[in-house]
Amino acid sequence: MSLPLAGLILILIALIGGTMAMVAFIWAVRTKQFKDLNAGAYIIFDEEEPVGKMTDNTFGFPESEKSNKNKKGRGEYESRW
Amino acid sequence: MSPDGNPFNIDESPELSARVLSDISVSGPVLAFFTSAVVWLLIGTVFGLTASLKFNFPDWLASLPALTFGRVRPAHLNTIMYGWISLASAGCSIWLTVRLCRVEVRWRKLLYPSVFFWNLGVLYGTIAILIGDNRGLEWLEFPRGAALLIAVAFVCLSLSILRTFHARQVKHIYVSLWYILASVVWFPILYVIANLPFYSGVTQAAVNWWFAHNAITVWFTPIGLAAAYYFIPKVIGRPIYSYYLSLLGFWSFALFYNWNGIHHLVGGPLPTWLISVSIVASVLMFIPVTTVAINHHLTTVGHFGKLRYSPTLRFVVFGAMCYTAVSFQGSIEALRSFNEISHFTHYTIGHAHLGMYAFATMILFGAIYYTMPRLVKWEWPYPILIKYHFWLVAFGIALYVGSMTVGGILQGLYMNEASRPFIESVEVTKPYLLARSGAGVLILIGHLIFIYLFCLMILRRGPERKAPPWREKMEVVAP
Repeated sequence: MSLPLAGLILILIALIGGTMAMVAFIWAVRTKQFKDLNAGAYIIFDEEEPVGKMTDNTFGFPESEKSNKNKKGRGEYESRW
Repeated sequence: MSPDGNPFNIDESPELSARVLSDISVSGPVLAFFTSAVVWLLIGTVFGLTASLKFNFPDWLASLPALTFGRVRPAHLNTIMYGWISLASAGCSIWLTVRLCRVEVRWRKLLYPSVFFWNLGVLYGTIAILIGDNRGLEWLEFPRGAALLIAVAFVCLSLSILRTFHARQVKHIYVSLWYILASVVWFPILYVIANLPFYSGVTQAAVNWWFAHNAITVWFTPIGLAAAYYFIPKVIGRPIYSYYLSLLGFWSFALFYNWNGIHHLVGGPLPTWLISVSIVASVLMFIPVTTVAINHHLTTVGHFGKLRYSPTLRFVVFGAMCYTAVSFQGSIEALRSFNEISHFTHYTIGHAHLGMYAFATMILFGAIYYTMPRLVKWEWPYPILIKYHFWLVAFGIALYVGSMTVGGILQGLYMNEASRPFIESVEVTKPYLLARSGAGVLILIGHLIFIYLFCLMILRRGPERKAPPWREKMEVVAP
C-alpha cells in the first residue's frame, strides 16, 4: 500500500476517534452527567456499606471501631481478627 | 424481590443485592484473569531479575541464545506489560464496571475466550521473542500473529464491558467508569493501528513511540486511576474530596496525554515541531496530574491511620503517590535541557519502573487484595505475610528507582563530558546496577509471598478467618 493512502486512512481513523470523544462529551453534558456532582461521588456507597464505614480491615480494626465492641456480635469477631 | 423468586435467598435492600450479585456474576472470569496474570507476574519477574543480573555477571547464561540479554529483556517487558499488568487490569476493569453499573455482567461468554486468547497471544509472543523472532520495536516486539490474538481478546473484553455499561442501573457515570470506558474503546484501536504494516524508517519510530506512550495513556494509567478513585474512598468510607476536580482531571487527561509519545524521540531526526508539541503536551500533564494528586491526598488526609488496617489502602495509596511522582518526573524528563542528560541512561529505566511498578503494579496488588475475598468467599490467610509482601516490594522498588536515578544521572553527565572515555560512564554505574539486582531479589521474594497467598485463596486453604459482618451476606450465596 502506498504511503499517501495509508496516511489518509490514518487521518480518517484519527478524525473518527476524535469525533467519538467529542460525541461522548456532548452526550455527557446533554444527559446532565455534570449536574449535581456531589451526589455522583456518593454512588459507590450503599446502605450496607455507607459513608463512614471502612470496607477492608484485613489487618485488624481501627481504635474508633473497637470502642463499639460492646455492641451485639462484635466481641467474637474482635477476637478472631 | 420475593423470598420465593429469589434464587440467592437475599431479601435485603435492593442495592445490596445488586452489589453482591454483580460480584458473583463476574467472579469466574475475574478469577481467570487474575490467576493467569499472577502466573505471568512470576515469569516476568524471573526474566527481569535475569536481565538485571547480566549487568553484574555478563558471562552468566551467555551460551544459551534464548537467555541472552537481547531476548530476556524484551521477554521481561512483554510478559509484564501484556501478561501481568494487562490481564490484572482486565480483571480489575470488568469487576469495577459491574460494581459501578450495579448490574450483573453482560456477554459473560465473551470473557473466557478473552482470557484464553490473551494468554495464547502472550505465550506465542514470548516464545517468539526467546527464539529470536522479535520485531525490533520496543513495546511492539511480539509478532503480528500474537498481536492479533491479543487484539481479539481485548475486543471481547471491550464488548462485554460496553454491553454491561449499556445495561447499567445507575444514571450517573462514576469517574472510574469514565476512565475504563475510555480505555476499552481506545486501546484496541491504538493497538491495531500500531501493528499495521504501513510504516518504515522515521515514521515507524514515530508510530512506535506514539504507541508505546499511548499504551500507558489509554490502558495502564486509566485502569490504575480508576482503581484508585474507587478503592481509596471505598475503603476509607469517605467520598472523593472534590468530584468536580476528578472529572476535570479526566477530560484534561484525555485531551493532553495522547500527544506525549514523541517526547521519547527528543533529539531524533523528526520534524522539530512534532517533538515540541509533544513536550508542550507533556508539561500540560501537570494539570490532570495535579487534580488527581490533590484529590487523592485530600480524600486520604486525616485517615492515614487507616493504612495500618487495610492492605488495599496501603498498596493503593502508595501507588497513587507514585503516580504523582512519576508523572511530574515524566513532564520534566521531556524537557530538552533535562533530556540531554537522562536520554539513553538508566535514569529512564528507573522512571519506567516507577510508573509500571510503583504505580500500576502496586495499585493492582491493592485491587486484588480487595476483590479476592469477595470473589472466592475466603478471607486472606496470614495477614503478617501481606505485610512482608508490602514492605519487601515497597523497599525493593524504592531501592530500584533510587539507584537507577542516581546511577543514570551520573552516567548521563559522564557521557556528556567529551573528555572522558566512554568506558567511565559504564564503570560509574556498576554499584548502582548491583543495588538494582538486590532490589530485584527483594521484589522477587515479595512476589513469591504474594503468589503463595494467592494460591491459598484460590484453593480456599490456610487458617479460616471469620469474615467481617458486612461480608456475611455473601456467605449466604456461596456456591
